[in-house]
Amino acid sequence: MTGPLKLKRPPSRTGAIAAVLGAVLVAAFFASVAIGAVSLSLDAVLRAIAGRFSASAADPEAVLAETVVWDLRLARVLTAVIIGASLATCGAAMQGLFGNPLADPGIIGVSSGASLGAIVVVVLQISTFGLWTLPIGAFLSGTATTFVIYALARPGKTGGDNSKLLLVGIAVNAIGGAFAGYLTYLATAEQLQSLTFWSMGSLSSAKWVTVGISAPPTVVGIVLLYRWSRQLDLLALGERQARHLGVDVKRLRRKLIFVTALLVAAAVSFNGTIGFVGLVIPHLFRLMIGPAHRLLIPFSAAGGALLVMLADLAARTLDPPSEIPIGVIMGSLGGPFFLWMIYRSRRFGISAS
Amino acid sequence: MIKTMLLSFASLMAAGSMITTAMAGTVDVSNAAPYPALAGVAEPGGTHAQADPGLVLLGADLVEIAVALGAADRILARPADIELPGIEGTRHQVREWAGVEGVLALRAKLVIGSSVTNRRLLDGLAAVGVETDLIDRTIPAVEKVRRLAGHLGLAERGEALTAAIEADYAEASPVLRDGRPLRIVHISKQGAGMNFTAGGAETAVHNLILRVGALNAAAEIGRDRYRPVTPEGMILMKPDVVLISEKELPAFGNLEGVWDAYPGLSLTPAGREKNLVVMRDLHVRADAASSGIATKALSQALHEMFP
Repeated sequence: MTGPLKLKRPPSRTGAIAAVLGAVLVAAFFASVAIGAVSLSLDAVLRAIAGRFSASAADPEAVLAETVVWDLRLARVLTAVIIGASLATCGAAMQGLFGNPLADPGIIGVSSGASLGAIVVVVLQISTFGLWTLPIGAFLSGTATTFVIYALARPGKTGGDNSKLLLVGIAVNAIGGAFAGYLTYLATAEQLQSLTFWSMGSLSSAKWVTVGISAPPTVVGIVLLYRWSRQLDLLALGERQARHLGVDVKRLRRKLIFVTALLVAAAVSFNGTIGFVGLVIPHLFRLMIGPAHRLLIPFSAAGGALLVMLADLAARTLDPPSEIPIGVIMGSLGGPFFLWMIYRSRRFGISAS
Repeated sequence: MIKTMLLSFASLMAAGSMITTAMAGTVDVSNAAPYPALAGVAEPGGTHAQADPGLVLLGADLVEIAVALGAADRILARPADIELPGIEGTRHQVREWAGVEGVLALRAKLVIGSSVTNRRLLDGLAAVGVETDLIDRTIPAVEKVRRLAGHLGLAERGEALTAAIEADYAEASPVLRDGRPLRIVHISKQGAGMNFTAGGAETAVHNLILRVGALNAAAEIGRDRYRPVTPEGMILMKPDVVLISEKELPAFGNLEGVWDAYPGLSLTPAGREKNLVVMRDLHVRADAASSGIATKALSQALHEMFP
């Protein structure tokens, strides 16, 4: 009976972690609004924020500051929050659903489907909806791919067989990848450049319109995932056990996949594929606060928002006037931190999955 | 052998002119003037009267035209890797992924893109009140000159430059070989990773080759843009002459390396006779201020190669 002593953890650090996370989140938010290529004093930033609410005609410098703060930075910071929160919560939900630590939001084919849609729009020069063609194409193709995978895998009446879903997903992704590869081969230098831009992800197309479009479904989606967290917890015991405890696994799976597909498609269609957040953030918080989804979902939302916000801040300020792809920053920022968490967790005997 | 002697002789005769012969069959015209000199054209008010460095140019072709128009000191930012004398002093350099706020922070007044990929940036800048335009890289050189000169308020210099370009175009005359036009191909390693590529239709070099009255061998077999080339594809092209950018020579090691390294090239007429023309990078890659000089230089090189 010597074992349990080693596993003893501090009583509950959840409250402290939440407080720190909240404080850092708020600090990062204000830093992202205040820092950028156009250098503005804190005073100018505050006046610019207030400027939008007053109708008084201001001098050109103030107008510039107001445009920069409101249209270029605030819209972008909110986009970062939306994307980070939705990708990280979807990642947590998918890892819970599949009981697989390697699951990320793209596991159900939505990211690769959206990529294919974007490639088709760019290479075949489709412009049915003008500037909106690319996001709409990516969104439709992303959700359609998920639907196809789900329909082909046809989970049985008893609800089991996630592995079939995974295997069908791999096959469909391979087909889509081959088609995308062929279109890439046909693409011109300019189109290739747009595709690179898309596949590396960037928040540079963030506008108030896109914030307005993606915010409501994100909030609703995250609230839904939060409400299903108890069922996700039961699913961790195993599908059969969860069913015996009253969880309609088949229905839960369908709901989770549906919400995830919508959230991820909404996130990637405007900003390109942004990896890493959805895979790593849930693990990070599982290491810190444990695997209960009731906490994991909101913490992941906050953590994802924080990571994408910081990564975007770095992306747009490290090498002005150019912007570094956000995926590059995210890996180099989050990777080492995650490694450190894994190393640290060994002392408590907790595993990342 | 006789041809080699003739070429050497020709190069001796041309000493002092811009053409020199480096080796058998190779004509190096990469020391041709980078762009036409317009020293004689005075602009009303003078360019320095409005020397306001607020100009951001997102394409090498636009930079070359601006420099030829005498507006180098008005360029605030430009792409980094351009080999052109006179632009060493540009204050900022932009990469492909320039951001709206980053360009705004430079206090740019006029931002001109050269490719549809600049669209997103230009739209973003226009939305915050910066003047923008898109002068697509595929439109003819003289039209680009007129539009850029219009933006810069240098209409007279623009007219002088287009006149110089068109005068040089007029000096080019076709070279026939056995009564048929020459087949020329521009070989490269850009545009498809590190693959070997050739410039097909819809490229600046395609326009250049047509202007000297030759055929673009890559376009003749149905290739467009810079696309990967297989050895058999190269044999199918049957080029009489190979064009290469001076900037890319190091990628092949040396002049001999071109024939060894490029797949299938040694089995073509150009490969057997080692007919190679080396040109300035922008001369083969851009429809811009130097298009006239490039046309004239290539035409002279071909006449020298096939006397």
